[in-house]
Parts: sequence; C-alpha cells; structure tokens
Amino acid sequence: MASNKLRNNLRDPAPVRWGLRIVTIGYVFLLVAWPTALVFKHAFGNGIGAFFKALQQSDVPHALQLTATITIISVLINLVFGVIISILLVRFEFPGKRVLSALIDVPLSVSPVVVGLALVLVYNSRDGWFGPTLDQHGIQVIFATPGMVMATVFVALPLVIRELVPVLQEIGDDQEQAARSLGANALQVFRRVTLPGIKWALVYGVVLSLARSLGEFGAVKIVSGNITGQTQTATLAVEQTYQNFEQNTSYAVAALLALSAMVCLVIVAILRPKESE
Amino acid sequence: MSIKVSGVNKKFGDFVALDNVSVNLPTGQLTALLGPSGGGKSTLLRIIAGLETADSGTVTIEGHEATHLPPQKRNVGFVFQHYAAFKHMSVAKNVAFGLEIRKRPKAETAKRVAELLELVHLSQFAHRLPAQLSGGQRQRMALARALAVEPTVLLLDEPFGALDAKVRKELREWLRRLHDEVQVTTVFVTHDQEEALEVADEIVVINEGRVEQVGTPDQLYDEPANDFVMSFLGPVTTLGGRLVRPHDIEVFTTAAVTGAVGGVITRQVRIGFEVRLAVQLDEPGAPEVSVTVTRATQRHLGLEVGSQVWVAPTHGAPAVPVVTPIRQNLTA
Repeated sequence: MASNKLRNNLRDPAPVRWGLRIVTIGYVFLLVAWPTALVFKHAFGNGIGAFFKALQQSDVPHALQLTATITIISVLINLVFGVIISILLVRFEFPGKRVLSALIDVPLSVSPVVVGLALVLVYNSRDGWFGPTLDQHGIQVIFATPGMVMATVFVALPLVIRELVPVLQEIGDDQEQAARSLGANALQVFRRVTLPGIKWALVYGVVLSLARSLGEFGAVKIVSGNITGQTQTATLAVEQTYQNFEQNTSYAVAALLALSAMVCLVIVAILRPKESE
Repeated sequence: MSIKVSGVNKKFGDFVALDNVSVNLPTGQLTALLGPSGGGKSTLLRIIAGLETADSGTVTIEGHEATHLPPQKRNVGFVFQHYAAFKHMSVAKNVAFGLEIRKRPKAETAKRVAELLELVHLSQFAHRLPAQLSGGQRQRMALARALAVEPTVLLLDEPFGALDAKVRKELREWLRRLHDEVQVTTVFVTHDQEEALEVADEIVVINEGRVEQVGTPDQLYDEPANDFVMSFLGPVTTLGGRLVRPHDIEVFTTAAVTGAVGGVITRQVRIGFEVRLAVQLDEPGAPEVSVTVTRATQRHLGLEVGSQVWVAPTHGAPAVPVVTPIRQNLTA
C-alpha cells in the first residue's frame, strides 16, 4: 500500500492526479449518472404506487411481456451460436475465417436502423428474398415476433463472441488435447473441459447481451412496424407514450428498463472478481 | 514391435516436418526421440498419439492399425510439455478423468486414483487445484493422469522442458525408476542429449525430418553413424580431419609419441574437476583443437597457457570424418 502511494507520487504530481479525477468523475456524472438519476426521480416522483400504476397503463404490460419474450429467445440463440462461432473461430482453420471474424463486428459498427432496414429488404412478404416463400407457409417475419427476434439477435451477436474468443485463445487447446488422448469424445471434451474453462466469460457475455437485447430500439422499430398492443416492445412504448404526453408512463417504463440493465451490470460486477481467482 | 511407424511424411505448408520416417519402437522399453528443435520429433510423437495426422504413411500400435484412429481410440497416454492440467479440477479429479470417461465404478476409480497419487508422491495434494502445485508436481500429476487409463504406450512431449535444471534432473531419475516399476512402453521427446543418454533404453536421433540413427545410448555414443549424431550427443573437435571428442584426446609434453601433432595452448578454462584447453596446432592453417583433461592431468603435466604440447586421439576413440564444418566452441 505504502509503496503504491510512493509510486503514484513519483509518477504524477498531486494536481495532475486530482485534476484527472475531477474531470473523469465530472464527465461520467454529467453524461451518465445525473440524467439516469433524473429518469428515476421522475418515475418515482409520485411514489412507488404511482410507478406501478403507470406500468399498468393500457398497452404497457403487453409491451413489457413482448420485450421479455424477445430478450429471452435472443439471448438463448446468441448463447448457442456465440459458443459455436467462437469455438469455430479459435479452434479451426478454414477459408474465409478472417472475413467471418470481421463480419461478426458489423453489428457493433452499423447503426441498428440499417440492420432493421436490411432485414425488411430480405424478409418482407411482398418482394423480399425469403419473405414471400415464408409467407406462403404461414410464417410472417416482418411486423412480427420472428423479425424482432432476428433484429435483436443481430445487434447483440458480437457480445458473447467477443467475450469468449480471447478466453478460448488464452486457455489454448492443450487441455482439450489431453482430454481427447484420455478417451473423451468431442461432446465430453466440450462439456468437461472447454465449457468449465469459459464459464465466466460466457456468463459475462450473456449478461451483456441480455442488457443489450432489453434496450434495443432502432432495428426493432423498423422491423416491428410498432403496432401498439401487438408488436410494440418496451423501448418503443417509452417513445410512444412520451410523444403522447403520457410522461408518467414513459418515465416508469424507462426506469424499469434502466433498472433491469443495471441489475445485469451489478451481477457482472459481482461475478467478475471470481473469474480472476 | 509395439509401435511401428512406416513411411510417414508430414508437411506444414512448405516446411517438411517429417520426410519418409520409419521406426520401430520396442515393447516395454523407454525410448527417446532426440534431436534439435524443429527437427520433427514432436510431430512424430503427436502423429503416434493421433493429435496430428500424417500426410502419408502408417502407424501401428501393438499390431493394431492406428493411422486413421482418433486419439481417444488409440489408448495412448500423452504428457505435454506445459502439463495441460485441467485447471478447474482438483488433482484427484484430474487423475480420475480418463476413468470417469470410461465409466468405471466409483469405488474402483477412487482406489486407482489413490494408488497413482501414491506412485507419483502426490497423495497429500489430492484436493488441491493444479495452480497450487509446483511445475514438477504438476508434471507428476499429468503423468499419473496419463497412466490412469492403463495406456498401451505412454508418450511424453518434452516432459521436463518447462522445469528448472535441478527439478528436471530429479524428475528424469524418477521417470527411469517409475518406468522400471510400471513397465509400460514409453516414448519421450527431448532435445537434451544428456537426458536421453541417462534415461533411455534406446534413442532415435531425428534431424530435419529424418531419422539419423537408432541405437542404445552406448551405440550412439561409441559408434555414431555420422558427424551429426557425433556432434549432437556431446562436444566434438576436429583433429587430423576427423571429429573427435575433446576428452578422447591425449596430451603429451614431448614429441615421443608417433602420430601426435604439436601445438601451443592458447586458452585454458577450469570447471571443477575438468580443464578445457584450446590448442593452436603448429601446422599453419589447422583449426584450433579443443581438449578436455582432468585437473589431475593438468597439474601432473604442468600445463598452462603458452605450453608447447603434442596431441593425439586416444586409442579406439570414436571418430568420424568431417563432412560439414562444425562450429568450434571451447565452452560447448
């Protein structure tokens, strides 16, 4: 402890250290903490009863339920495909691997609105690539839950993979080879050796994609059509109620979304130290 | 023959790792694959284990065709240089892994694990995690884990390479004793000629993807097939156009002996009981000769830098003609 203090003093003079702290804390406060706190203040301003009452407004329960459904399905899909793609990227050599790796980052860089538009172009039931065929078989993608799930999966796809890939690279394949030489088949190697090794990274990735899926707005707005009571998710409900001057409802839903994401982050913060043990 | 490798080729891109390699590794023996880094010895071991596939050629283990078998069906135990311990499992769980995969009864597994931990002197660490063990302990655990499944052959890839010199020496003596106790056909890869000479019953020298020589440590040391084997197994020097070991050169203070050539001692390094001399021959253009004598000889003959001496190979010393230039190195 004492030596740490000494080292800090040697590195930077006190005014620099204090200046950096104040700038950082002020920045985070003005940009993140204060605005978020205001949402909570407005949501709970009329008491906890009013908060719950606002959440009971006409179409809000349906929107919350829809968000929950889409989030759970998306997270499950991203969990399974995230693990498969990560293992493929780290453990196997194949042509086009670098292209695949680059493509996975596309959702991080492209605006979700573009993602939504792209999905509409491919899956709309009039002139999309697959839309009419799927429509004939009674599957509606655009303006329905499947399309919203796809949009959400798309935007949250990189989160699990970007957590898993470095961990898989770091642990290497020595343990997996040892397991195989001891008689384990591919499934046993995965279940007994690979999975325990990436467990915490996987949990972290899932929690991140959960938070991201809860809050998805742009892509979902385009593919859902935002039909109140049918394809309106919680984030879309926040926008609509706000524009309809139902501020109480808007703040309440917003606060609930923020709270859910924060719970996710707290869980991660608790899990994180365990990973480094 | 326990392991039969015939005509194995392996390329990594343009690099030829193994070039038409054929060897027979006898049952129940401890065989060393010895050679410089990048010579192909680890690749050969991994092909035997099934962790790597040969481009062409066949591998037979105990009479069973194994060329296309996946590693889990070959019944080989493999020990990795960096232990490859299952980090999230206790020592006992690590050792039990192969038995649990084979669905052996719990009681039998527990008994076998206890025996093996006893064998590798890790009984008191059964419940620790690998991270809480030293390198040597981890490698002993890896060995117990490989032995647990009663493999037909035990393969070790530079097993002591990551350990410090003292532990390495202890462990190789221990491996030799363990092998005598367990009697399983064992093949280990090493680039350390001393390790191979000390531990192995038989040594396969591999260089640049080819087998240079196969033989017992004595055969290899006393009758090296070529200059590579001679120089890889120990220090060499050039005398009269032939490779000779520095300690197989006799030093005289008079010219009385026929065949001895004259020279002057230019350098002298003493390491404990041995003294290494560099002798510049009188014959112009002749390379400097390294000679190793005991401290007693040096004192008896009164050798020092600047002394005029005559040197000759001792009678019956192994020597091979110089084919490629060998780097002269007094301290090698």
